[in-house]
Amino acid sequence: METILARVTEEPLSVAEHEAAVADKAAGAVVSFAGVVRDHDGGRSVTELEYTGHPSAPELIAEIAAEFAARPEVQAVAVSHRIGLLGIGDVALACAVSAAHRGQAFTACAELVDEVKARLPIWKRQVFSDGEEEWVACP
Amino acid sequence: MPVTVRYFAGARAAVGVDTETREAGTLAELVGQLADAHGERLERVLPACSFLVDGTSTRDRALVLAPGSVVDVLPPFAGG
Repeated sequence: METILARVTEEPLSVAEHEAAVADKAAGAVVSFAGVVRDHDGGRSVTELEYTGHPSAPELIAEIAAEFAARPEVQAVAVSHRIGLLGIGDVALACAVSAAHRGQAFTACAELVDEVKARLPIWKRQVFSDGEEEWVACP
Repeated sequence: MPVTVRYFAGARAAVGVDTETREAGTLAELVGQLADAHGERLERVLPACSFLVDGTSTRDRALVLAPGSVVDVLPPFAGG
């Protein structure tokens, strides 16, 4: 029904802020997700990640959020992706979805994450502890 | 037809510049030219890329490019 928050930002993300943003008297369930920078990938030790976005990324995340907010079973949606240099443990993707019932909220939140990963024009450069780096998913 | 090519992320890293101008009539012609001009590293990346032509996403390599078109080279997304 409502997109409360949809943004691409260089500022640190708070999942709690997203949960609070979708809270609603009609919502019996709030499901949230944090995509967090981890210290390993493919068995190698990771020291930092940099996310960069295409200029259209803010528009795209708003479009995706609006699609989920338009679902009749969804009460409210909040989703943000962080860009820039992130450290281990930093939140890169924060989402929260509220709905009348938990099943609907779990499903919508999981699908929202999948959709953001598939459609949002954002890229990730991974730096390993040996100094090597790679663009994730790029051949 | 002069067209502007903008590179992002891994494609930018393969080429070493953000943007360049090329002469090409179709997207296929342009992509072939880019592969020839920039060598093996970009050649490896290009098949995985999608393209934005004047802001519209396409994988249609037969697409005819208008003079002054802006073509963005987008490697596979890796957000989240």
